[in-house]
Amino acid sequence: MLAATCFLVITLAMAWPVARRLNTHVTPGHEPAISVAYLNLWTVAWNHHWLKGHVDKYWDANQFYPHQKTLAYSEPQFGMGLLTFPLVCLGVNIVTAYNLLLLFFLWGAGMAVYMLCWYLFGKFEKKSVNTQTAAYHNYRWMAAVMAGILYGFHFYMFAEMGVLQLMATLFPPLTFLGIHRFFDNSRWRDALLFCTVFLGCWYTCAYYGLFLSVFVACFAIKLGYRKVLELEKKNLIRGAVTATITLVCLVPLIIGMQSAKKAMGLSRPKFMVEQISSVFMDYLRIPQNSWLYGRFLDIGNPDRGIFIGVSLLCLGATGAIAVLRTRTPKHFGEKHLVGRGIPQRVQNALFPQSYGLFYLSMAALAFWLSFGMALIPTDAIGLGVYRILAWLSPYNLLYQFVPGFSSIRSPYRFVVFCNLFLAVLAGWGLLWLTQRAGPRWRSILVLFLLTFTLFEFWPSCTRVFRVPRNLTELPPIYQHVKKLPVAATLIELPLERAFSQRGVEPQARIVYYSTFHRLRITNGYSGFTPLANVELSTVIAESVAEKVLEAFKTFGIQYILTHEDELNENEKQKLRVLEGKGLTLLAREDTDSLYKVNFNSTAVEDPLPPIEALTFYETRTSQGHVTLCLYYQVDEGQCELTTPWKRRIEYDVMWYSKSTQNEPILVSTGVYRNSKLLTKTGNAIEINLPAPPPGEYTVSVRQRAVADSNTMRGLCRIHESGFVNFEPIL
Amino acid sequence: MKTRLFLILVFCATALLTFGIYLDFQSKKKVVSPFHKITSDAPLSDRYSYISPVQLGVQAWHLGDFAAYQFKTNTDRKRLTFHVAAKPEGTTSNEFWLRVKGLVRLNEVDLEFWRLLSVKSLRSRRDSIEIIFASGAVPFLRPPPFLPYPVLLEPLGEVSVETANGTFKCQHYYAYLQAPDGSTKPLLELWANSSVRPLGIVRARWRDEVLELVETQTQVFSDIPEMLSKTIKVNNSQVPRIASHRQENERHPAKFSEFPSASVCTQCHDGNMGGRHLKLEAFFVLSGAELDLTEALYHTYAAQLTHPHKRLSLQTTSTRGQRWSELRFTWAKGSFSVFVKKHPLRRLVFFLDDVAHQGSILVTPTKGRVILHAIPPFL
Repeated sequence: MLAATCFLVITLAMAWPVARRLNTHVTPGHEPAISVAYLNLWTVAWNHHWLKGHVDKYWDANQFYPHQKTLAYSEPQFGMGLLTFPLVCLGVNIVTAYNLLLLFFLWGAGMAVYMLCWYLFGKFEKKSVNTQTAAYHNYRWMAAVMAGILYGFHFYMFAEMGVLQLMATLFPPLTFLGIHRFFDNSRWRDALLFCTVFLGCWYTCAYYGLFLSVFVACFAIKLGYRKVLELEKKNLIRGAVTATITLVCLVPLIIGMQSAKKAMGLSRPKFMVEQISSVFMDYLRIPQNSWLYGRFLDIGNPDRGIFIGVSLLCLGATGAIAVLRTRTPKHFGEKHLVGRGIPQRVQNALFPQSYGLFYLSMAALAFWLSFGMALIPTDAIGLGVYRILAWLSPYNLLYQFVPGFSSIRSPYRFVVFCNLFLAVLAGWGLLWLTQRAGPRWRSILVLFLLTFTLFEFWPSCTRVFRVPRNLTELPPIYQHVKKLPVAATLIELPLERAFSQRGVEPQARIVYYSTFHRLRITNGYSGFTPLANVELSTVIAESVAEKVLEAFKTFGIQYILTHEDELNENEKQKLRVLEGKGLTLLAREDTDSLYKVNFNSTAVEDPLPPIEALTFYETRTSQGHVTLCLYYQVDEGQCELTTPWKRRIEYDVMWYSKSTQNEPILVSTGVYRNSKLLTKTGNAIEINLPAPPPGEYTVSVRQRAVADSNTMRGLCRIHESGFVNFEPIL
Repeated sequence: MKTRLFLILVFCATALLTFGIYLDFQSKKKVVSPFHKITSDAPLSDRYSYISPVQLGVQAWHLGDFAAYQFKTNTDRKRLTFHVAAKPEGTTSNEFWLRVKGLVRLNEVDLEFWRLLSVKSLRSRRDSIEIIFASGAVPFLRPPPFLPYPVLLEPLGEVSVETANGTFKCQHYYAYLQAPDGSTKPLLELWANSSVRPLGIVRARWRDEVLELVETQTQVFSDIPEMLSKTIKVNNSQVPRIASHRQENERHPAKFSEFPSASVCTQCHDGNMGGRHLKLEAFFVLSGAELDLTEALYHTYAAQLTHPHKRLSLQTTSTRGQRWSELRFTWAKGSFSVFVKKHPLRRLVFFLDDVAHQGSILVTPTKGRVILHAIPPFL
């Protein structure tokens, strides 16, 4: 209880700007704009919307219309929705619920590590239970609190305050606590604890869930192999039941995410992962959001860094030394250790003997994994004898063989686990130091270290921005939007300007505002943007007004909301041309106007336009693959939308060694996994396909599941070096 | 005791060996990383420059050699021109200023790339410079990417190639780029004729991108703008001069009011964001890189938070990792920063923080320092 109060005080003090404006403002953390916070507000609100039963299809959220599975384009955050749902049901507004959850995560992260350490450091061998003294008990408490502060109030947390899901760091330590307790006691309630927090981790932040799974597997191997060897039947059954229930509960999340991944090709290419992997310098980059480094010493770096912190590093190293020195007391003999000043109770603690080295190795593994693909280039060619290292890179192995890793792009976030294991070691290090120090110095030492840690981690002033909480706080035009039919589709102009945080913030804001009117909007902001939306921006910027209207039509847009003060002259001019010719003004408030599109704009379901030509050429990255490029016949002024759900592009490709009379040597299905706005100048679609071995082939391409589709043929030469040449057979 | 000592020695030796291997590996990785970037990502408009005209049979360049190509992709068509435009005065080497136009168009303005090259290689030397120039703007000097990978040509036979400039009898090649360990990766497919100067290329292809000859001329002479002609006369030690020039001006900031400052971003801002003082800042930083900074300021920035109420640093970094200089600005009421970072292909990439993008920054030089003022709502 005392620890909970301590962490609550620290949370409120460190995140005071958030706590002070709990119901009106949100913080972007170190993000330059509040775009991610808007997205998270929208995501949490969407979860509430679904939990209230207002929508049937959970994954088909109301952005990026007419695309589907749009909730899975970034974290669905069902856990966040579930945690805040009772508050919202009680009438708390979404902003307050969001901020309360944020503060809860901050508090919970410290508490979770405190609980883990309290449990780990309190495990004694039976013979030494009697030696436990009140003083030791107090220092154990302080060590656990210190570990909680080191983990829960780390720079990382305050830097990522704008990304709600990254704040959900309380679940990994609770998961490890659940594992420890379950393997120690084999009780159902411990299994339930593990199951709940592990699923909580997955459902709040899939990133951490995936990373956590790696360490849970390591823990299960470390702790469970004895039970397997000793055939402890009861424990094994309970373990298997727990694992099965956990996996079954994960199925809905995985299926939802996978369906979006399969449809839209959400995989992250290796080069992208390489770019967002940490490099060694990131660990040395001192954060600017620390008051000590950023303002007082003025040595902070505005770039993203994952500096571990002096206190965490020093105490973690002390903990490592303590573990190495006390882990095998039986081998050295108690007298030997006592003679070296290591107290009996520390020697007999179970943590260093059973888990210390393991936690140390897990910290090292997390540190290594945080480098992702940065240590070893994604392509091993040119590295000589070091080519083999590319395959031995642990992250590369995870990327290649563990489902889910190919969909994430930020391995640097493994640093959270490095911090966690180091924090536990740091807690142990502090306990070890207190036991070695003289009675007079113990309190001073602990007090000094606690003060220094808080001083080091103290964040500089957290920025907060006011956000609207209900419809009345939105611009007046949204009152008119709210009156539109529930099934209406809307686009707000302008669309995204440039790919930058500032450029996308208006889109994120529009997405958040849609929580108040719930119409389906073509705008969107997420970790992934469908290609057709990007192309729609291009059409709006570069095409004549009539073609822009055609593009709106193919998207099935019925209403347009324009913010004229944000439009450029070009866009204003097009709008003026369309007013009266294709758009009818419904309402105007200040500089915002709401138009109705003058046609029966339902999503078009005509067949795809015919193919003008096709060719094969080299792929960009994948070895053993070729690219099939299809050119569609699209007239000037025409716009055609294809998505994986409507007008799906799917072709059967057959490779023949000589003529098409023989059996094909390779048959593959080429599916275009994205959306596309086909125009006269953007009429090409690229599909990656597996290629047969080098040689000359006759290749035939036919649209799948379309009975009267034409078959196109050509001669394709695949050179050993990777060059591909194609000649069509007319 | 002996066992422990032995174990410590083994541990130290292993650690040293591992560290040595790591360093060796990192050095190899550093060399090979650009190779991967080129062979996987680079467009044809970068790839052609690895081919040496001599390899394709072009013996010499003459002043006035000119070739125009059509550059086609699935979504784009543009005209690229290569012109042997000038020879540096007072030199006996066979190097010429090759002017490449049509590669990049920014805010409705065509950028020209001027490089001092010879027929032996279209790749710049390690110590050479590249000039980016647009009509009416101050030339922007930057060290070009230096990538030392050899190109191997695999001849495939002679073929006739029809182009808009006539039919050419060409040697057909597959070109490969060779990594330091001897392994190769495809670079481009090309059709070459030695009579086509300055490049020798009639057609080149990589994936869906095609470069095809549309026009050749000799004895094409054009006036070099005065601002540029002054620049290309100077020798290759210009790069360090930029830094010294800037430092000198830092001591006398009033000089910068002489520069013109008209720049309008047509894509996302209707006005001159930040006012004329912001443009002065841009000139101050990079010695007149108006167009590049326009791009940087308005479009390709990645926002970084610089905390208010603190000093901020502005660094310019040369492409070889050496700092040209470091500028520090005192600003008590807000933040504004430009970060110049090294791109894997050794291009300069600019980063701005979000506050600067608000258009609320005014920059005034005062007492040897540039003071940045923010107007509400950022105060």
